[in-house]
Amino acid sequence: MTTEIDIARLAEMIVQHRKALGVGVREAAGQIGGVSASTLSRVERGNLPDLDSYMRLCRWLDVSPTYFALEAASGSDAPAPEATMPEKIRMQLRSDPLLSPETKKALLTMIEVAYAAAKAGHLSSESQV
Amino acid sequence: MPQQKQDTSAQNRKSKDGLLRGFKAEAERIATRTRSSVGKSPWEACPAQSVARHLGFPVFPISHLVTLLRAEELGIVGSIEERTKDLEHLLIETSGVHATVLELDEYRMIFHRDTSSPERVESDLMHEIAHILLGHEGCYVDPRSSFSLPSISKQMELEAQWLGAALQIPERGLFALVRQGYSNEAIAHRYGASLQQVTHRRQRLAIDTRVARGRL
Repeated sequence: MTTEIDIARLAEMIVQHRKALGVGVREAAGQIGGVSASTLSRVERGNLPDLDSYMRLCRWLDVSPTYFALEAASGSDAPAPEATMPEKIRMQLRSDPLLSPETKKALLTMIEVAYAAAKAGHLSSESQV
Repeated sequence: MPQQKQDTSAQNRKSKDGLLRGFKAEAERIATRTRSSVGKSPWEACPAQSVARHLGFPVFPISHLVTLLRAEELGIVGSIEERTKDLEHLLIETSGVHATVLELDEYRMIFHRDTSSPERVESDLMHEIAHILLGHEGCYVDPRSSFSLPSISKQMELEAQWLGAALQIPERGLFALVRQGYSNEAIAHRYGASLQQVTHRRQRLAIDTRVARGRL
């Protein structure tokens, strides 16, 4: 079985996500961390990133690294990658009215980690600390 | 030209502190009923965790997620260090986050910042519980689009503030304790509240005037 990356889909999703956030390439690269603006620009134009950059991009897009995998037809019945984020998210915060980008990013991480913890049975009433 | 009549009906429906007329009495009834459902009278402390769990929302400190993450028990792919750093950011005062109610698919939970004082944690949790009891819906989040939090209406916030305070320091209990001569400090200790909360509540409910008149 061979696996390739759907670079066109990756590029499209990066551009869409960047536009949804209303940021330019330089600012997006800053948000991603560890990826230069020039690298980001090359990936948006359809060039394959190195592994470290790829992992950072997936993290920024909130998808699993296998999300862009293209598998050659091999009859494999490997299961689809498990979702890292829930389908439905409802949140209520007691917080200051204005939240920094850093706090918003942290909240998304909290959702991701809480979801994983809940699925693993660590957040039931019985496990309340 | 005839003078335009001003619509005062909306204004007349609200008390001077912005709550709809009748809401405060209803909030006290909700608080009494809720505390009773976890076996607590108006004269004793009612731990917010008990109420939250009774409503189906277990409570956890944010640091619990940090512990689970570091123990690598969650099968998360990618940087644990970066995620830990994100979560640790939520523990500091400047993050601006005090408590969060989350509904993730079928899972429900409340997280609080455990670096806050115990009195602050109780107040924050009761505030969130108040929103739940009042049926105030939180926002639906799509993390793949631009992440923005719609503002909760000012009216909802005022209502949750009042009900949260009533859950923690019920009017009946406060009236009785003041009449018996308890100090604000003793009352705060009894309810697990801050001195400021007790003072504020005592003032908002005009408890001293009512005790002097001998009427709840």
